[in-house]
Amino acid sequence: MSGYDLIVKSEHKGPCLPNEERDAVDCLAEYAVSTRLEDLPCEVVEHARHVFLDTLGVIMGGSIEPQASAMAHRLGRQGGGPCTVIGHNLQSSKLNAALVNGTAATWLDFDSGHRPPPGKPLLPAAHPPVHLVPAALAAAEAMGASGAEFLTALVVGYDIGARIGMASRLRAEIHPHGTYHNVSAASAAARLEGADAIRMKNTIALAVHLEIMPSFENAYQGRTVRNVYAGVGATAGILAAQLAKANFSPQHDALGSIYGAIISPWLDPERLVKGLGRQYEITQGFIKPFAACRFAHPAVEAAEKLIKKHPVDPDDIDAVEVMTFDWAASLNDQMPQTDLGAKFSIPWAVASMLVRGSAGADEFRSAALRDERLRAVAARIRVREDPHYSAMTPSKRPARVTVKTGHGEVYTEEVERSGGGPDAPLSKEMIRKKFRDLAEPVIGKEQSEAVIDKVDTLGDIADIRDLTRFLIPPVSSP
Amino acid sequence: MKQTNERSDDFLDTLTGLVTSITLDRIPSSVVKAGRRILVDTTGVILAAMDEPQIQALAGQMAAASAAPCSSILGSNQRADAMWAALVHGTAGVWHELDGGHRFTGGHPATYAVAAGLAVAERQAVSGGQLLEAIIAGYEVAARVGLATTLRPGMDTHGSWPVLAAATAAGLLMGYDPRRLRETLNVSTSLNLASSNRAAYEGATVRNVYAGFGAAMGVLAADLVNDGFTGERDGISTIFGNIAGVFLDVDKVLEGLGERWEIERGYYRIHACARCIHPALDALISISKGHDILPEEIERLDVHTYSMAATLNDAAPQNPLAARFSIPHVLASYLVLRETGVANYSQTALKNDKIRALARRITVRGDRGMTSRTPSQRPALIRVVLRDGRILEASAALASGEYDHQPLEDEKLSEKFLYLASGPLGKQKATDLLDKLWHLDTAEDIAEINHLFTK
Repeated sequence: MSGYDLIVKSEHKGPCLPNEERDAVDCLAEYAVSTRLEDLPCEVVEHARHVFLDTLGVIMGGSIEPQASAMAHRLGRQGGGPCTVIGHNLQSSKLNAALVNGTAATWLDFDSGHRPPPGKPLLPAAHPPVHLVPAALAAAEAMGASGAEFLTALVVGYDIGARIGMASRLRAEIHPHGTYHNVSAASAAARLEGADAIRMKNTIALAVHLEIMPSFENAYQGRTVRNVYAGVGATAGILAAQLAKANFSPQHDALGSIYGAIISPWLDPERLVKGLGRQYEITQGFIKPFAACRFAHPAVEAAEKLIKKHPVDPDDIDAVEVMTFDWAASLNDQMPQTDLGAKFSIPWAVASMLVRGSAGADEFRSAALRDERLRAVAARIRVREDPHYSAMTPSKRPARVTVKTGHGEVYTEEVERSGGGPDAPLSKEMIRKKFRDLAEPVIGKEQSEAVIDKVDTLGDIADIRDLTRFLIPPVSSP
Repeated sequence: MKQTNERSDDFLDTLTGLVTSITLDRIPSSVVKAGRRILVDTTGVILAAMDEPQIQALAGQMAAASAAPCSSILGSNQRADAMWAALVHGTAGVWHELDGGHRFTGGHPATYAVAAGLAVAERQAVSGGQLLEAIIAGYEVAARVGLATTLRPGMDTHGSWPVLAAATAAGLLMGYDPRRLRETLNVSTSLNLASSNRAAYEGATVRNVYAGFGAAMGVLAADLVNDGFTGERDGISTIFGNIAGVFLDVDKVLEGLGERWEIERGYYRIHACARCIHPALDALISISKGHDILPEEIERLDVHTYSMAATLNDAAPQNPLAARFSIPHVLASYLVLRETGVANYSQTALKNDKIRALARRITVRGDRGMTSRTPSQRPALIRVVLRDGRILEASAALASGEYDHQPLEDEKLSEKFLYLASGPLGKQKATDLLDKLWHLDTAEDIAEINHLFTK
């Protein structure tokens, strides 16, 4: 699968290739420090803006959850540093702000991700922005960096982490949050802080050393430490950049040791640099239309198609069968106990669509878990693997939803690839609507529109703080 | 469907049940004594690294990073969030390779328990006795999981299961009951580093940050539980059975629980180098006590030791940390400088031509028979071939400083503390602090001694 055809026309100087004097990480470092906004094709910058706006929205949506809010108040305070604790009237240091904002960013599981790594069996997609955006934003605020620098940092940071993920094979039991996109966070921060190629190389390697190996099991069990992985990843990225500044040293081939044996069984250095500077991984991401695990999306979209053609009374649903690919078929909990558990439950996500006609943030918050109609329908949804679908992964990730009503009608709809990815991107208007839905309850309509405007003209903004001042709730008049 | 019913009698409940019930008057006095010794030793070792430029830079960064700076950074006059103070302490604690460890696991739970414990104790304003209890409990939980864990090849214990020592100590200092402590452990396991052991061999100083980061993650885990965060039912089995570890022997976690205390089985170091080099160094010291050998008289020096130690054979280490992991440098620097402390690993020592030349005449061989005797023994044999044809030989089954082999007396620990702490604190303050640490259980509020930690 190649969504790159659009992009390769760039006339940027050729890729840095490893030779006797420089290895693949030298090339990545060189790319990270030398790329300028002018070098980037317009489509790439447009993607960066979309990813940024989308991530700001999901951070705000997550920031009001009680645990995220408790963490924010513990690690931030009014005037507590140069960096914004998004969604609260609190500030803190780079390290703390990245930790809190990164945690809030993944809370709704509504954040955007990258395509899954190649190979079989299918591995879950990683989510670069929840590491990258909080770290880059904190570094940019502390520096008073320009919007152009910030956007460039997002593009190069995204590339570096994503390339590590695509050049290796993370062990399947490890949750990808807190792993290679810590390096995205670190390289973006170091770029914004003016690192040269040598310091960048050290930063990249130090960030590889500060990767955690968290369990996927927490997601299945709906335990909220899962949301901290990305926050820790963002803060580890900031820390790596700081350690490089303080002359801490990484081992000679950190990437080879850690990705060649420990966190992944092999690393293919060629893939780290293939097409670097011409193919931009940020264009290969997806923006989520539904607030659930990405692998649940084809089923939810099939349910959406189904009810558009055949409006079904939820009370009349007798049974629902979902056939999907191997990985998704494990998301089969009919009675999720927590909001996070609901996001990893196809029965819950499909029931949301069938009952409420929506699978947005609110369908998965704690209050929705008590919705008796939703619970009743979810309990009637069975999820099974279709081996033909499994064979079609990773390029296609299909699902088929069949609804049987009490009146004996049977309806079926199928989706091969869910929307929001490079082949069927969400429209600008859909991205904005999603942002507004998430941001307005937190910062109000006026500031939400201001953020949309600022992100639209980000390349012209001299100081990122001209945008971030809108990311905290308006002070209510006395 | 995932299984959701939680058994109430599994190993984690037993373990957390035991350690939350620890009070100084209910555990053997020898365990309390071991707790004091660990605290004295580790505090001194942390202080010893505080004047290193990289540690000072890190301390400055962490103080600046803090929203609620209420924990002192030892040996400085700065304060930080408990999590970030623990990061500095942990990083400093392993800097000189002088921190105590546990030979049955190859890890250093004391460093994490103390690095985190000191920072959280100050924030929570607990008594000295409570800090001691938390350190004993933290050591016990981590060492037992360490005993049961077979880590993935290539991984370092630093940043891995010893994080449980920090998490346990922090949780207990926050007054957690068994249920919340269990939650803390299950949160902390997913915050373990994917650490590579090559960093130490190459002398990459990020190795020191593994310990600091690990201590910080332990504190973070306890704080997250207070914020309402939750962890999986049994993160220890998930992470150490399948992710960081390849096998977890759960029975070993509970074997002799409450009867055998792991903190009593720890070792203390007087040589500032990797523990697995100590048997060889002790053997060499015993030879040179009987014979006054000059470096230039040595034709060659052969070391036979167990396989893990035998990999530490770099004859030309490039930096101080790598030199601490080099048998040739450790032995050569002893023969030239006649000491085994911090000075052996300075940039000056690394550039010393006599040491460099002698290191090149030292060979290291792995020995299958010796390897099969680990971990109850960690043997080494030294054979010195002199230019006049004489051959001197000595061996050691274990390094000194073990609980069951030439233990280090309290007076020696005090000496070590004063030697290490007097630099950053000054002699008087170091002496006062030492006295307070030995009598920590009588301090009603840890604040009584906090002012002594800082410059």
